[in-house]
Amino acid sequence: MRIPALTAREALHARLTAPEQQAELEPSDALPPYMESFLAHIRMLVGVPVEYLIPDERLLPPESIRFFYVDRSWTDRLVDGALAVGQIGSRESAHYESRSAGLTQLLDQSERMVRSLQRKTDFEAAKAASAADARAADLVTGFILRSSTVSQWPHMDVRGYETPVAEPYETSDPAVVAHQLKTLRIERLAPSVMIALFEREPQMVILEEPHHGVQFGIRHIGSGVSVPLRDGHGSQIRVGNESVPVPVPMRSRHADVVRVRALRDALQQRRATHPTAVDQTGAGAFAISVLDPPWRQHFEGTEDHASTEPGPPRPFVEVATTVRSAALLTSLKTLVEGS
Amino acid sequence: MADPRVGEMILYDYIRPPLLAGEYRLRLDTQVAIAGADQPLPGEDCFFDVEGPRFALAPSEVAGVFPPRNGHGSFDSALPHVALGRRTLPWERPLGDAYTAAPGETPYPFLALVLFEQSECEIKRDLALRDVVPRAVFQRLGQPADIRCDAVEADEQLMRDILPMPEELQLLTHVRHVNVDDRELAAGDSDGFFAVVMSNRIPRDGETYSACLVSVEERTDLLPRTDVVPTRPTETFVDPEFAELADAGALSPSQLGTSITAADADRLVRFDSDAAPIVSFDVSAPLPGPGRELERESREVDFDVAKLERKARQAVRVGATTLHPKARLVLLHSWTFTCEGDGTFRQLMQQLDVGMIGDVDEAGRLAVTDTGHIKVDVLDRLGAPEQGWYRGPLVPQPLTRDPLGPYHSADQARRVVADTGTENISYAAAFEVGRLLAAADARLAQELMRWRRGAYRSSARQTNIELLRLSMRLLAVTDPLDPVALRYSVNVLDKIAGGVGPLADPYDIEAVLASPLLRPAAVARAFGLESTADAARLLGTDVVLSEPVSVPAAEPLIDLGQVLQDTAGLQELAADRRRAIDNADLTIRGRTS
Repeated sequence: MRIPALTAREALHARLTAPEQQAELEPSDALPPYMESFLAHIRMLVGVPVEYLIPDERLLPPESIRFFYVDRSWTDRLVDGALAVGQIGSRESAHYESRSAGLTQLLDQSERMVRSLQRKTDFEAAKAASAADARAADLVTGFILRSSTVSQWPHMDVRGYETPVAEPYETSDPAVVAHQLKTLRIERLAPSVMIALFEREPQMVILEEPHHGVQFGIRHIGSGVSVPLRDGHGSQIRVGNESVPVPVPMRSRHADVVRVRALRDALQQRRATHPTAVDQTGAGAFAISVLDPPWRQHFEGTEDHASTEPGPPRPFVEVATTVRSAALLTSLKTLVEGS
Repeated sequence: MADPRVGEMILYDYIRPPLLAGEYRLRLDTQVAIAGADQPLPGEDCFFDVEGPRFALAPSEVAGVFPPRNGHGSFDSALPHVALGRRTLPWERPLGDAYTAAPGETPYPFLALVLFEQSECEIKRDLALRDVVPRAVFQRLGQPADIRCDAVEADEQLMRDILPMPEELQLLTHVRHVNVDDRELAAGDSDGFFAVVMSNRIPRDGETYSACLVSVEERTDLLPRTDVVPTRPTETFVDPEFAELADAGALSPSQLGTSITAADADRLVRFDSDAAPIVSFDVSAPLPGPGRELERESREVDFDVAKLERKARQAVRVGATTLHPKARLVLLHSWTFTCEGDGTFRQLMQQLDVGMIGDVDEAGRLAVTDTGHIKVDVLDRLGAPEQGWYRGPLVPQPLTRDPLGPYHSADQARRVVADTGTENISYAAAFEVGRLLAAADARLAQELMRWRRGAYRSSARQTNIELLRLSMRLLAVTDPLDPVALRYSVNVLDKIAGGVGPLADPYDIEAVLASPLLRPAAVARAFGLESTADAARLLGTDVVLSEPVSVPAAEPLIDLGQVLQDTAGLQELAADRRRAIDNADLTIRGRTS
């Protein structure tokens, strides 16, 4: 029913002067939820093959961690590519042309709900939460960790902070939580590779040993072993600067088997002299006594390379900008590329 | 239960399931008494089972193990443990009849984590349950038919030595409630609750261990009742099987298993030269074996040590049978680790190579630009190999966003480096991978089509409305989302009701009013009145002549001769007269016809 464009020339003129041709209408052609969720996910690089993230294995050697910024142009092209499916003519292009600005704005918000969607939150609830957060798109940063710790300590805690926080601190302290950055994604890409994305630039990132896997620590002192006496919150009880060791009784026929009940009784006896020690009422109290608090690894002070000295010299030489003479340039090039 | 805050965890002694696993009968009776006399009513029985992992455990139930599976590290200062994703699992089955806990008391778990040195145990897969547990236990378990399970087999005495006592089992099992907000995604549900089973054995440096999560349901025959072994200054103990050796010639080697070595024999018979030659001991161990079992009573056996030693040595020489009875336990989960060197979380973390993306080892000889680009081999359109720049989405510096969107093909996103003419395919690659990801998702393609179709429809609709508005002269600004037909019909009705004038003029009022003599403007001009308002008043349009009307003094009369000389005026009058006659004729004919 559209008034036909009479000539190709007029059609071309119409297309060039108004590339979108038709104003966008709401809400009869609102973005389907599945599409929104898919596009938000690929914005967070979910599903993007690892080779595209780390194009060369040498960029992420074993036992290394690399911090990065996410290139928004790259993720925008991902979305462009996804919407190019079935774009066979000018109609589809015009359609996308008119909607891309709104779509980009929408995805800037809905990319924040990816993590809650991944954790099986209902789409409507996640959408409502992300829609309420009307901040503009911000920097996305993160790290990629390749280490045996990822496979051996699954579900470690990952947090990013906008300012360095001095130890010791409680991660649940409201003053500390206020500085915590929103985690956009934490996922294992391979058994020993983990990626994490944060909103905005962290000044400190911590990786903490998983809590449900907190180990039971025992100290070897001479030939015997002991555990430090702890209070009800798991902190060591100190007399002066020293912890209070409680020897661990062992079975006589197997010196590596702990007499658990006897240890419990020994711990309970110490309450007579150290009343703050945890009351041995059952398995939970016993577990507190033998727990080692989780190790918390800090990464701080990762300065922006752009503004500081270039760091270690790299085998790349930028020839073209430093050499002006054409003959010298060619000879240098052959020298560098040949080596 | 309050949720733990970020970074905290809450420990519980136990979480008792509302019902233990098992078969249940629900009996429904109604007691009715009428006038003091009982009126029995028929009751009803319902049966139901509560089931849970019993002889096998799905790997997904295990949320984590420590030390890590196949890990190498200095684990000699930690007790191994396993975290289970189901919080009530360890308490879902009774340990045994003698170990039931009243509500409010700490129940006994039926799971134990047993740590064996790798040489101490053998893990057997897919055995019939009947072959794993002694017959008495099998009966107590309710003789489940056709159960096959995994089992760990070890020296029976060793098991008695290292298995925890029932009271210790209570202490070694607890529940942790952790905060799961800052975690990578878990495969299963992660409500934050984990049941944790600890082992009571500390790994020793240099050993490889198998950690076995076993079911000790009804295995009170193996669990020790005390962990204090009476020791005497000169202890001599002999494994009870020597008695068997003395009087069990009937046992055939094949049923007892492997040959023993000289080292085994030495381990079996540890003598002190001053030892009393007579040792008393209990023999109560059932000997599991396929279809065969030896139930023995406690008894006191006296024997001559020298004779025994001679006999043992003889046995070794002839390559006779092993003398240790083996015991088996139902194995639910197991993993191995080696306790050696460095490898704790802390050590590994502190040894990490930390850097921004693009930091490479010089030895790797990977050329990375300051911007994070690397060279990759590509084929150009003609199939000729060349090198192009590529950089993934992970970059070492914050970048500004490309405002030149949207792109409709990968070629639009190809860039050429000005200096060298090398192509930069980063964004083109991003475009292509996005396209492939979307194309691989069938549902997305459908939704995309639906989205476009919806847009085309609404666009076509708006064009229709625009056309309609133009051709029907709809005045109201039409909201494109309103139902068009309704709006249109209302408009048409409005027009019908108010837009058309009187259909006929029976008294010729319209015609009379159209006469020039009744037009105030014409009258005013003809009579030289000051204004048309005066003319209107004279014509009586205002009904009442309210104000005086000043009429200018008439100019000197024009005589007839002058009029006759004005031929142009006469012609005009003649034309007017003709027109008037024509009109009258037309009207008359129109009326008569």
